[in-house]
Amino acid sequence: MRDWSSVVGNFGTPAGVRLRVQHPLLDMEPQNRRRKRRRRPAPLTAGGTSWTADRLAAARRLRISAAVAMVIHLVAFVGFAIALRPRPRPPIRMEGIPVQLVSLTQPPPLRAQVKAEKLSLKVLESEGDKKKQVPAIRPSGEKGGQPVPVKKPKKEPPKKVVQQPAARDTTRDAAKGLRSEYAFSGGAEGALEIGAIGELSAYAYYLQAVRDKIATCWAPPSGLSTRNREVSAMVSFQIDRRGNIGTSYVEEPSGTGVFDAAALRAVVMANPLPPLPQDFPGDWVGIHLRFVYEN
Amino acid sequence: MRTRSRAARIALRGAAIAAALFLWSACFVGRVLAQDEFQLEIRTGTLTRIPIHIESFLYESGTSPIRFELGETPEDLLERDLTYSSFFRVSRGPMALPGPGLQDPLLPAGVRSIASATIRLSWGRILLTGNLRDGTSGTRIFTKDYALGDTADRWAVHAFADDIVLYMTGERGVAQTRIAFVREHGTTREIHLIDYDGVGEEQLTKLSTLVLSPDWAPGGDRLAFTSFGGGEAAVVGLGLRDGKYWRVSPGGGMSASASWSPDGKRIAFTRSMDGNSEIFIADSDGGSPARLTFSPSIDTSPCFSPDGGQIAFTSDRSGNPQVYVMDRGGGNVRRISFVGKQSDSPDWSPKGDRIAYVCLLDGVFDICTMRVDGSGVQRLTSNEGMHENPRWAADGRHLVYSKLQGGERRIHVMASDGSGKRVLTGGRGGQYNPAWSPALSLQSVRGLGRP
Repeated sequence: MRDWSSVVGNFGTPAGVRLRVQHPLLDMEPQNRRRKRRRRPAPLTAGGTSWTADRLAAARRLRISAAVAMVIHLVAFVGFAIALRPRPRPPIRMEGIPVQLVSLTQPPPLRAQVKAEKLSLKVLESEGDKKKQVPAIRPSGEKGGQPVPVKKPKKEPPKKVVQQPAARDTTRDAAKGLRSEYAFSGGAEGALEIGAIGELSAYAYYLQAVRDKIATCWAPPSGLSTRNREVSAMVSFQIDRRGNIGTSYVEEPSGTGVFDAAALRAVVMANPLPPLPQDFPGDWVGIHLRFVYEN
Repeated sequence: MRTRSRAARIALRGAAIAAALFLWSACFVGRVLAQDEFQLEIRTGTLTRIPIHIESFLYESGTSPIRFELGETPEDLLERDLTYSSFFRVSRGPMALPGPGLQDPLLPAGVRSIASATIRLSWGRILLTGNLRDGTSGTRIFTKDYALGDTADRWAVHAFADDIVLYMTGERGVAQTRIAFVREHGTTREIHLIDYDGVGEEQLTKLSTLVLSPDWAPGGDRLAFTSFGGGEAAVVGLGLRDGKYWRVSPGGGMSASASWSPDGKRIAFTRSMDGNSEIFIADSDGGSPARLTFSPSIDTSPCFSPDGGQIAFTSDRSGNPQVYVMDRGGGNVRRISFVGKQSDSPDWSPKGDRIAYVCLLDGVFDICTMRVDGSGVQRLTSNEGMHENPRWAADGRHLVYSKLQGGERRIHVMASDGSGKRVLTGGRGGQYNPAWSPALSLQSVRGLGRP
């Protein structure tokens, strides 16, 4: 038997040293291997095959399997990428709702409503997709069979006006609310899918509930003095099926740190929100919530 | 042969690694695909109650119309539950015609959601299938079955109401709760239970002694209270399933006003020896008692914060009773109440943001709440009668308290903003020391009151 301790060093029992040496993952680097070989010129034989050969074989095996894994993974990835290549999926889901929410922000008086609708039409026209978009306002368009009265959504906002007397409504409010929302939907660039819009209109109650709950948790900082009459910040967050709020962040800061912090805190404090409706198709909902403070 | 098996092994290993990586990346792709985004806007302004509509329930063949106590229909009960939740403004109407888009022309404007239900037979049991749909589009929000049992049970409607509250607000409702309180029986006092809506009162203890200040364990399966049986006041536990009593406080001295820790493992209580009251804590089975306060003044009425890390209590170390807060171990004692000549019997909101207590204002005891640092005091009752023992409901949005007016003590309930006050109990003998239970399942309710 060789004296192993003289070869590898003065530590450990011979058995221990052997264990270390035989590990195939040790000394994978060719340089290392060479250096050690130089220190041990005599072939180390045990039962016919040298341990170096064993180790090399192990390394080779590992390399081959890694290469195979790489190839399979690459093939799968390419296949998956082709199967799920980004089809022109317009973010329409973001757009249908703001139309509905015009009545939510604050019930505007009738005149404001008329103005608002004109405004919306104008935006739609400018996108040059009017014919496609107008039916989008219809709720439950996908509920085949039952013809849906087209006028219905237009009837609705005045109903709410009657019902929720707003403390300080101005036409300016309504128009402004709309503008900000359309500024957002402008990015959607038209392309609409009526089915999705119909689906979305079913969640008006949910968005109202979200808004209400966060509003009760919102304490805008007092004594906010700004030159502008209005301060606003947008906070974005996700809601999972059980109503838990995921990470939230200030998407559009107001320029006033205290105000942003208060808005963010309101969202955090409102957790948990109502669970998503049982039939909701997605795993979560993304919300872009604008906090507006009027001096 | 050997090389082949090696090749197979290599391929297998490669495939396994590839599959793992593939699944891992697929997770992310799936997440990205299943998304929906909306934009909302909040403006400063006040909010009103949510308009909700209840349709007449549909009775399938084989079922007969259900009437609860006092001749109430299930719709009546649901309306009451939703109104008591202080979230909703309820309207009622007949059943709508089936079919999407077709809505009842009598439906009040702006209704946000519509509740309806079908009562049907299933395997010999009566089921109430509750359904909630969006008021605008008529799309389903949720559908759920509730067992009415063979004898129609109000708890099913309560459960339906709580689910409506959850789906509409994200808050837990309190329709499936009961309130324990002390009722005078001549010279003795016993603990009674009553549903949160004031129906179904029953006597829980029959100890023929003085039994006071009950407190629910967080699970709703146990109670702790003060009992004067055996000559000295002691804190006693009661299992509601098996009806077994056990002693919590150590012998010697008078022990009272028990308060469970939020994890249900510990009980804080007041123990008086030689005229000096101090706060003690012990395991819920009475083990390892320890003293928390060391002051020659009177320290009493302990109550845990919902995270279990702090204890609010009353102490007169400043000359008159005021509310103090200390850490769970007894350190870091600080006074938090500074409004009113006296402040007593604190109770920490389950939401953790406020503490309800009795404050002496203008010579009258009223129910107030304050933030946990003592700021933002809100007076919830006005100076008519004497108010005592405020206790929060599990939702942190309602309070129960006792009120002495015209020589009669009654249990009352109100929302935490002071609205919706209603009297819960009546009859002979005063009622006081209320404690609001956590949500109770139907099974546990059936088991209650029969220890």
